[in-house]
Order: sequence, then C-alpha cells, then structure tokens
Amino acid sequence: MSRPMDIFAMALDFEGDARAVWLDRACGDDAALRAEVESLLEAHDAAGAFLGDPTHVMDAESSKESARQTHRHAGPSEQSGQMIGRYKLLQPIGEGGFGSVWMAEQKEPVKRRVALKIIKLGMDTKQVIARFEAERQALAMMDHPNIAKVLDAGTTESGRPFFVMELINGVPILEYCDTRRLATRARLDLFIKVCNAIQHAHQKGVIHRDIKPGNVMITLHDGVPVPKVIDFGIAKATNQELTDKTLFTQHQQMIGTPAYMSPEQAEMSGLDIDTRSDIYSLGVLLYELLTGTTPFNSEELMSKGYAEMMRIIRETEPDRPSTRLYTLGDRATRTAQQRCVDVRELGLVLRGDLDWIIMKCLEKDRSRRYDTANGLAVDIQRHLDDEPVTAGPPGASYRLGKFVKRNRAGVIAAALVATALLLGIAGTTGGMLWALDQKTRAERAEQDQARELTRATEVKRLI
Amino acid sequence: MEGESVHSPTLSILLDQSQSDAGRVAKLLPLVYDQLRSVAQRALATERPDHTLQATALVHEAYLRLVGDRAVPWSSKAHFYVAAAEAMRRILIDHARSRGRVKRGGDRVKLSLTSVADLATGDSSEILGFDEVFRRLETEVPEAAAVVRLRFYAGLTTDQTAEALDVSSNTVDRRWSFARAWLFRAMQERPEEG
Repeated sequence: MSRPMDIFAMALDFEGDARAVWLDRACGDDAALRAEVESLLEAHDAAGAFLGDPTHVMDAESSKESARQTHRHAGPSEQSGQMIGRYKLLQPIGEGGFGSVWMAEQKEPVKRRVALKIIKLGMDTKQVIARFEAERQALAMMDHPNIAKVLDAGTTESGRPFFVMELINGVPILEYCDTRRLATRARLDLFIKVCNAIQHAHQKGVIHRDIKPGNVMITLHDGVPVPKVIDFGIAKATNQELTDKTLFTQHQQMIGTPAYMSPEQAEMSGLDIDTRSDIYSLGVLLYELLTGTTPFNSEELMSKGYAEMMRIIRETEPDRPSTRLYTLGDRATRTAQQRCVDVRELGLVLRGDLDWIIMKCLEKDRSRRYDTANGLAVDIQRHLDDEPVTAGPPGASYRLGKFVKRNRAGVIAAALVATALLLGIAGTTGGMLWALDQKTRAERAEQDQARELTRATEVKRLI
Repeated sequence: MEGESVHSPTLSILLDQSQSDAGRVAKLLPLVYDQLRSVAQRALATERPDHTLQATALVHEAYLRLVGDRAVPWSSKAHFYVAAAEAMRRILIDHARSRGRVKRGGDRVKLSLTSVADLATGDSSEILGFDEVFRRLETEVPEAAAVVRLRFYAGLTTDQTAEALDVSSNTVDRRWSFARAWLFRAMQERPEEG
C-alpha cells in the first residue's frame, strides 16, 4: 500500500495540532513526502462536492425509506421551535435507537439551556414515567461535579416520555482521548474521576446500568478536561432490556451496547442487577480506553444471534488487554499511535497491573469484582503510584518489585550504604589480618634474634 | 431440465470457475458494454439526465437484463461490476467524443463532477481530461483507482465495493478519500488548453 495514502488517511482522523504532530512523526525528515501529503490534504478540503458520493441518490432514497419506517415506529417527530412542556426545542444534538436528543430552552422558573431526551414511542409511557418518579428522589440527591443532573421528566403531546438533563457541551470520552492522543496515564486520570462519579451515585442508591463511552462526556473547564456521566436513571426508567427486537431493529446506538453489558444483565431474568454491574461496564470502558477495543468485539457479537451473544457475555473469558493488543495487527499500531507510544511500549504499560485491574472488573462472578467503584479507583491510583495493586498476585517478588520501583532513591541509598559497610568490614578485616601477620612476623624475628643471641653467648662461653 | 439450459451467456461466464478473474472480466466486457450502452442511450435521450442517469441504476438495469434475478454469489457478481465499471467508463468517453469539442464557456476548470451524470452531460473536454487523470491514478496508485472504478463508474456502495475487492469498508473509505483528493488535485493542475 502506498505510504502517502496511509499517512494521508490517518491525518484525516486528526485535526489542528494533532494533525501537525502526526505529520511530523509520520513524515520525519522526508520533506517531499510531507509536501505531497499536505497538498493532498489541501485538495481534500477544497474538493467540496467533487465526485460527491456517487451513491448519494440511492442512499438518499433508502434513508428516506428508513426514515419513513422510523417514523412509523416513532410517531410524529419534533421540530425546532416546538414547545414541549415548558421547554422550547432549539436544535437536535443527537439521534439514536432510543429516540432523539435536543438542545432546549427552559423559561420557567429559571431561564437556562437544557438537554431534552425524547424517547421513541413504543414504550409504555406511563410505566416509564412511573419508574422515573420512583427514582426521582434518589436522582435529586446526586450532586457531583462529574455527574450531569437529571432535572425533569414528562410526556410529550404525542405521548412519548422525555427527560430533561443538564446540557453538556462536550465530546464522548473515547473520541476526546483519541483525538487528543492522550497517553495511558492521562486516560487513567480521567477514568478515576469517572469512577468517583459512579461511586457517588452508588452511595445515593442509583445504579447507572448503561455505562458506555457515549454516556461519558468530556467538557473543558478552563482548559481542564472534566468527565460528565450522563443519562443516570434513564436506563432504569426505560427498563432497557436488550431483546432480540431492540438489538436487531433499532439504530446503531443501541447496537453498541451489548459489548458493555454485564454477564448478569445477559441473564434471561435480567432482574438481579446491583452496583457491581456498573463495575463490569466500567471495566469494559477502561479496556476500550486503553486498547481501543472492547473485550468482545461488537460486530462479532452481533453476527452471532441473540442467544449465542448472551452466552458469550455470560461464559467466555475475554483476552487480557495486553494479549489483545498483540492480536490486533495494524490496529494495534494505530491504537499505540493514538497514545503516543509504540505497540511494544503500550504492551509493557498494560501488562501486569492494568491487565489484572481490568480482568478483576470483568469477572463473570460479580463477587470477585471490586466491591465498589472507589475500590477500582484506589487500585488504579495505587498503580499510578507504583504501589502493589489488590488485583495483583500476592507474591513476594511482585511486592518487592513494587517496593523497589516506588522507593527507588531510598533503595539505591540503602544499597550504597550496605555496600560501603561491606567494603569497610572487608577493609578493616584485611587490615587487621595484615597487622596480626606483621605482629607474628615481628615476634618471630625477635625470637630468632634472641635465639641467635643466646647461641652467640653460648659459643662465646665455649671459647 | 430447463433450469440449466436457459442460463444466459453472461451468467455462464459469471459462474465459470475455470476462468481466471481477468479472463472472466475480459469475456464479460463486450456483453456488458452493449447492454449498458443501450440502457444508457435511452437514459441520455430523456429530458432530465440528472434524474435517470445514475450509475447505480443503469448498471443494475443492465445486470437484470443480462443475468436476470437469479441468486449469484457475490464473488461471481463482483466480476460483473468490474466489467460494468469499465464499460461505463468507455461509454462516457465515446459519448463525449461523439459530441465533439464543446467550446468552453469560462477559462476556469469547473471541477463540478459529482456523478456519472455530470460526465455524460458536462463539458466534453473536462470529461476527457478526467479520464486522463483517472488513467494516471491507475498506473500510480492502482488500489485507489480500483475503488473509484467500482464506487464512481459502477455506482456501488462502500460496503459492496469492500466485498468486491475483498477488503474492509474502512480501507475502501480511506482509498476513496485519497483518490478523490488525488484526482481533484490532478484536475486542478491540468494545463489550460489553448
């Protein structure tokens, strides 16, 4: 494959500074290559409708067709300017299998902008609202900088349930990390904040049930990235049970979910869900943040059919993250580049602690997972601080290794002192032995002398 | 009894495993060319070429006429589309040549090609120019040109193209973006004719 093409195609994934960094890396000193790629990028931006999308007429028709079909399911769709309760729709900001999300304006009692999520028709609106009302008190108790508040819920005139949430101006966490090419450490720092948000919700008695990259947005506060977990309470209210129907007939958004589903959610009963189900999904999120893939490939899951898919989620042991990296081939290179390292380095970073931490989250038996989101966050912090993680094996050499890594300066100093002592002992001992030896020699010499003297005296006497 | 005997010649070629890929395409080409040209001519004769001259529709119609609606495995169908793309390219060139050199209005290259329809109705010197740069792409980056053939000339979708070329959809997208930028740049750099 041609090199300019690869570099060009990859550059399209980056914007601004990130693109310049990528070109620096990929082209190195090859000025001709750089010029070629840059001129192609320029042409790409200038090309406008050139060659357009040759199948657009067809696609437009088929999408019209699918839109008609959605409409049949979804009922009348909303338009900007329309009032829903006391909220005025401004512009659509998202669309998915669940329905649509709008930026809306609230006038009373305070004037503010909010996000309005309108759920598609076909759900029992009364039940959805009733379930939401049941959890409303708990939701209202949540107050955390990393949680988007759910403010209100209601029914549209056409009878569809809607939820009103704090408007988050951000991008999904994976997209943020990959476009900024954040290194593993920076990703872990963000992830710890996500854990803290989930911990807070759990303490207030709220389980998220649908943690996935699209529900963790990153906003910038004075240039500092702040994660915001959205959609609390909505999965429960809409009782998102993944059935054959929702999985296979709904939009992709829905299809993204099975990869994040915990084994107990894949149980047929699906009733017995607790906070540890969120821990599992956090594990999947961390897996994807670090390796760029989910433990089970979404497409592969979808190709299996419902029952087999559920069986895989319940029974199959996924690859360790570091192992997965080596099975990715070309994608691994790309994944590593997005983390500003090469594949070998990334493998080394993942192997050990992070493998263990993630695999502990992904345990099929939930009693073997972390008990709390906080436990998970603390273990990641331990890894960052080079302390032994609880997910790790209790072996002595592992602990010793960690101790050395953590206290490198101290260990080196201690080793130096020990060496000096040993050398000192050896030195003095040597000196002492030498002195003793000298003493013996001197004594012997003295004796010899005395003997000589005696002999001389005796000889003299004889004479 | 009759099932096998009514195989159209096109279908027989498509299903002929003994032929090499290139061999099958070469054998298909004259058949597909004739059929596609008659379909296209009818479309070109109508008043609103933009509504009817759509590569996807033309190629599909030619396919139905030549093969019918029998189930044919994609691996075999792919050969048809490769031949159809080449046939479409030749038809458009012939069409442009037959209309002769149209005087160009402005001195700017329009670069307004968005579909095969524009190639059929547009400025003929631009069409011949496009073919020239396309053939250059074919020698310089053949894998990108192969995507343009199927996507642009035969009107296949990304997924169909991926299947025909036996690569991933992502790869098709990458090659397509590259080819589009490359062709656009080449068209802009084309020396102005006197």
